[in-house]
Amino acid sequence: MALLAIDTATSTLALAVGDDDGHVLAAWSSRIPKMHATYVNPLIDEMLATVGFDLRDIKGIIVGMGPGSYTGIRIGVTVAKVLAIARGIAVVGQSSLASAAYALRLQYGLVAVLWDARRHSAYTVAYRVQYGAFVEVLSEEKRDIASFMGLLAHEVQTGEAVYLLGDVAGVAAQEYASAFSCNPVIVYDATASVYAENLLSLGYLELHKKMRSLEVSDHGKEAHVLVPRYLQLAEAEARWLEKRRGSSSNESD
Amino acid sequence: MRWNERMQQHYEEDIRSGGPTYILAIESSCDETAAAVIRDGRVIVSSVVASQMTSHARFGGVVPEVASRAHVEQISVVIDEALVKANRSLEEIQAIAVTSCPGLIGALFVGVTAAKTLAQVAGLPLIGVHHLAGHLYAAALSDGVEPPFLALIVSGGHTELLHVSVEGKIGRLGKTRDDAAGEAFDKIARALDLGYPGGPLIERLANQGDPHYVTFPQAKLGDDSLDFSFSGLKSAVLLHLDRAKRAEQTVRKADIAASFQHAVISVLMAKAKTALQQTGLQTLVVAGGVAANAALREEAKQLCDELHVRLAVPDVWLCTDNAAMIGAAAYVRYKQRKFADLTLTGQAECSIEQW
Repeated sequence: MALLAIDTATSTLALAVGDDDGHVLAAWSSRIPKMHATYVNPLIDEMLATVGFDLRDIKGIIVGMGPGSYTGIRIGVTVAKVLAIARGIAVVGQSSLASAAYALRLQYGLVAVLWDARRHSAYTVAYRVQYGAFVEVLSEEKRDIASFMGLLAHEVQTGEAVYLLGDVAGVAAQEYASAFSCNPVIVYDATASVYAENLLSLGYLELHKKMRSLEVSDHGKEAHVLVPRYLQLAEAEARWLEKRRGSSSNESD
Repeated sequence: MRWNERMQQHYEEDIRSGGPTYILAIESSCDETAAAVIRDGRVIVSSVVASQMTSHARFGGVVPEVASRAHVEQISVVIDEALVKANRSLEEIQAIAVTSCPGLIGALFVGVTAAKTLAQVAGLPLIGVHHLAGHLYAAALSDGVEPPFLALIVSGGHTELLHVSVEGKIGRLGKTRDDAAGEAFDKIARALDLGYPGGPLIERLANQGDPHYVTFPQAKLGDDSLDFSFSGLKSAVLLHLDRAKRAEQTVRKADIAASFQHAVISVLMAKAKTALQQTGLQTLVVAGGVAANAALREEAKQLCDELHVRLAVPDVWLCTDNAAMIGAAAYVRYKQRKFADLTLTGQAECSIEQW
């Protein structure tokens, strides 16, 4: 019996298999952008074979729900949903951003993630990490990079270390260096990446609880309602809503 | 055990047992999320289609990102439902089939990833199906037609004349050089303020109109080309509407719809006729979303009667996108042992001749 963790929200394809207790048996990642749809299944096959399993041995799944690449997220979420209903097993969705931050759970300071969301904006989140406690200080949101760095500067305490992760972390660190003149700023990872061993650690407790509490017959069914965390509307949808709002306010005039 | 070994074992067992072959098929190339269970390529055991049509109607056409989002929400539901309605578990299925091309790339990824995961977990052969081959085999589901035949595929994304040989090899005789016929219906429907999707709306209106009210031009593509072109026709209709508007005449929508539909069908029939005469094929299959159009079905029947050729059309509900037709097309591949591996992926474009 084994647990599977998958994240495809970023250009890193991240997979891990864990034992019953959530200990990592194998963790694979490969950075081949835009090839997740091709490789996710064969790599799962390969990874599980390496540790002497196949998909039938998987009893629970943790999947990264995004935010990130829309097309990317859907690939991992589709694998998780279909596997869950095919085998009647429990599935838990976790934030990909939070999983990225979770790599720094043993540090001390502020951990902030910034993943490019285009047009000077980023998918952002920030945690305060102290003695293994992981406390959210800025919730997961798509923000202007400038306003996020402002919020972060407001949040940081004198002398507190600031760890930045993400593909726009380097630029942000440089551009807003003056706001953090009394803090060590460390760009921990200058790519947008999730490593599935972190996803496994982050989601393990919830998955374990779900596996024990649910009626076996309900396992899998919950998978139907898993929806990726895009953090923004499809562009056409946003424009349509705006137009509708515009026309309804005209009507009220 | 590795998927490849399990899959081959299952295949050998099925061939040895000689029992019926159940294929679970998935389709997600455009705006329908669909799954079906098909027995021996001929019998629809179950077919589930979750249509996104109402969601896209407000945009006047299919928005790829909106489609992909809906697919990921529906995919496990339609698969589950197709199995439940077929009263079969995944262990009682012999192969997984999926539309792998052509289509909206993000939309295809959802279906293909779902199919690969099912094949992988159940240790079953995986079959990638060309979407147009699916439309061809929809006629086989309704009518039992066998190759060789000439096929006219008319939908929102395609307008093609195909030659299907006895062995099931597909050759292309003609295709559209610009808009697909169904696309032209959508665009004209929009110009007439009818809504979306255009096909059924134009057809309904055309029933009350005079098809000879305006003679719209039909593209001449030179020589004996079997290619199609609808952009000139579309422009002519738009120009006509524009002139009427400027002259402040009332637009006779029903007559224009009827004249437009007549022009499209005439050109489709003319090319089909030439192709039948050139190839000497004795059967014509008309398939794809536009094949649901009653006037097209009627004209095709008249053409076939005139040429003493057999006509096969899918039932109307099988003309639009569905997974049953994908399962039917996949069965031929299953028999020929033409399987995909787990690196199968969606492709926006691909030639039917290469399939």
